[in-house]
Amino acid sequence: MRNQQGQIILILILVMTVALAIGISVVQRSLVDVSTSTEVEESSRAFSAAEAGIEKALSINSSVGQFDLGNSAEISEVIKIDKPQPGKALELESLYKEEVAQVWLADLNSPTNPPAQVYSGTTLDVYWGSPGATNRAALELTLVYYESNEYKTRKWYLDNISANRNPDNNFDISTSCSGPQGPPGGNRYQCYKRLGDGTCQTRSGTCSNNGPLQNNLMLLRARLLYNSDNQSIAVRPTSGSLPVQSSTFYSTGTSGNTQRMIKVQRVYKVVPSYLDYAIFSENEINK
Amino acid sequence: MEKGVSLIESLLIVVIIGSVVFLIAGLPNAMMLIAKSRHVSLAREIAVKQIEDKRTINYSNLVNDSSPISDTRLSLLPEGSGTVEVTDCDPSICTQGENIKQVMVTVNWQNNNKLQTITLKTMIGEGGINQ
Repeated sequence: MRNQQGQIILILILVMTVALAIGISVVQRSLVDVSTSTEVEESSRAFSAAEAGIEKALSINSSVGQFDLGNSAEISEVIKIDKPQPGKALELESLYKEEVAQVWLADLNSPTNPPAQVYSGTTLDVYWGSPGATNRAALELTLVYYESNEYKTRKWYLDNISANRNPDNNFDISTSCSGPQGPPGGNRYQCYKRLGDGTCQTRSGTCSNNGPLQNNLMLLRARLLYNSDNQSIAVRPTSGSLPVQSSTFYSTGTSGNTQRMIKVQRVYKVVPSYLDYAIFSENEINK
Repeated sequence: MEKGVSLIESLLIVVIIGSVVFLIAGLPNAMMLIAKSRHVSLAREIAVKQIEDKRTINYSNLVNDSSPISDTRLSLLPEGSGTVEVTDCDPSICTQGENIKQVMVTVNWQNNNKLQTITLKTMIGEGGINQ
């Protein structure tokens, strides 16, 4: 009997410990579940409020201040940021080989035909390629302008001076391809060329197809060639500003202690990618 | 000293039994809280789905009305029901006469004979998200 004394206490303590552990875990789980579901509900309210803010900002195309949506949710603010900023360069999304990007030079919301000109500079800076890239990209540019009651195009084919093309592609070359270089405050690129400044060079000598840009500039289309990875392009105005090409809206919704932010980018009218390959005719085309 | 049960042993047994009873008594409450949080999450999912469905509708086809929610998951909620209400944007919010509709989704259910409600509000505008 003496040896058995105390064992019951140990067993009971063990049982009590297990029971306590189970009980505490169940209570803790239930409390966590309730807390989580409350936060998720607030998060949904905040998200719906942020979406509402985006809708209002898109509707009036400007930033929106704080307003209460009711339902314990409010829109803290919606900020609209235009791209590019006045006087600044437009940095385009990176492109793979032969993908096309475009830059509006006219007022794309203009009701007139042709649309009113916005950029009227006679020169334009372009940057392209990733600094240090060994697959040196070339750049094809198509400038669309309006002259003598019709739309016309003008082409540039620009290659990296250090690129070795065999056979030679007879492109104009950029002698400024020892980047990193780029527009002030912007990303860095491999090559740079000023369009319209009169300087022109090929691998075999000089050329003369880089005179001043025409009047009534409409848009510029850019296509990278020879690159085997995504590389970027930037276009910088040398005077004045480029028209706004896209707007980004940041909307913050709040409910309780929860905040949700939504980012929406509105890209304005884009000419279809087949433009460069299609034939447009006012009348029927006969073979 | 060598036979019977000591006072400490008796007290411990009382304490243990009391603790176990206390925990067992708390279990139903904990289970109820878990069920409640599940219901809240489900109701939220149903409400979010309704808003997403409305966003797929062209703005010109979005008319002012109040209609019951038809979602099979409502049957998983005790006495679950709900409405989707589309109204014109409150003039105090849309001060410039914007073409915006306000969408309010309400999901109701019963929990221990108490009415539980989740309400989500948002707006859908002409030329807005998905439009």
